Amino acid sequence: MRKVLIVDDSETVRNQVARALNEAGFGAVGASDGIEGLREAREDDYSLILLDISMPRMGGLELLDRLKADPKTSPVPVLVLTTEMQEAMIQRAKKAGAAGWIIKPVKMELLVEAIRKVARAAS
Amino acid sequence: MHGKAGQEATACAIIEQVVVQWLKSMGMVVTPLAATDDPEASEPMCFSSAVEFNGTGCVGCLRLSCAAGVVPVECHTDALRRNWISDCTGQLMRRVKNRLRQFGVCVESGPVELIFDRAELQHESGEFANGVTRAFSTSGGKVRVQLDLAIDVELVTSADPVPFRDEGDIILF
Repeated sequence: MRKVLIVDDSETVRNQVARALNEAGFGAVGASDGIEGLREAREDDYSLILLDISMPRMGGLELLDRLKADPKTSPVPVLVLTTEMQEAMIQRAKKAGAAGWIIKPVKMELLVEAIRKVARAAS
Repeated sequence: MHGKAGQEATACAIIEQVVVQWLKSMGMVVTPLAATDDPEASEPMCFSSAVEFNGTGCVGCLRLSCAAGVVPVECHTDALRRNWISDCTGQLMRRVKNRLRQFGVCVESGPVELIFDRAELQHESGEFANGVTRAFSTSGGKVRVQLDLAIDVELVTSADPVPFRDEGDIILF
C-alpha cells in the first residue's frame, strides 16, 4: 500500500486528510511538526510527504530543505499544503525541490487526485 | 477619506467581505449584523483566538470569537474545538492578507493565539478600542470579528503586482 506522511500541527487537518487518503486506498501517518516529520520520514518508506509551512519547532520550508538534503528522503516527492500564498514562498519551495504547493482549504477529492498524480509520476 | 475614519472604513470593508465569503465557503448562511450590535449581549462568545500581523505601512491584529453552536459537532472535545477556532482564525487571516494584497499591501502574520477564558477575552477586547468590530449571525449562532488595522491609507492602491493566488489552488511544479 502506498503510504503518505502528513506533517501538520493541526490535528483537525491531519485527521481530515488521513481519512480522505484512507478512503482512496492510501496509508497515512501523521506528524505534528517538522522534527517529528523528519524523524518519521527517515524511519519509514513513504510514497509522498505532505507538509504544512507554519509549524512549531521546525517549519515546513526547513523540513523541506532537510528532506532534500538527505539521500534517504530526497527522492520522495513533497507537496506543501498551507494557507500561505505569497509568491516568494512558493518559488522558494519550488527551488528547494517541492513537487507542488496547495492552498488550504482545498477539496479533499482534488487533494487526493493531486497526491495520486504526483506519487505516480515519482514511482 | 483619510486618517482614522479612512482606516476604519477600510477595516470594515475588509471584514464584511472576507467573513461573509469565508462562512459561505463553509456552507453557512450568514447575515451581517448592524455595526452597533453586541453579540455578547445575547449569546456568550465561547471560543476565541487572535493573530497579529504587520507589513509595509500596515500593522494590526485580527480576533475571531464565536458562540458554542457555531463549532461543528464533530469537534467533540475541548482540544478539537480549540483547534477548530485556531484553524478558522488562520483561514480568516489568510483571506485578510489576500484582500490587503489586492491593495498592494503585503503583511506577515504571527502564530494564532488561543484565548482561553472570558476574563482574558473581555480584557483583550478592550484593547481593540482603535479597531472595528463586526458581528454576524449564522444558523449555529453568532460570530464576532475584530480587526485592529493601522494602515497608511495613502499607500493603498488597487494595483496588484503579484500573481493572484486563492484558496483551493493546486500548483504542481
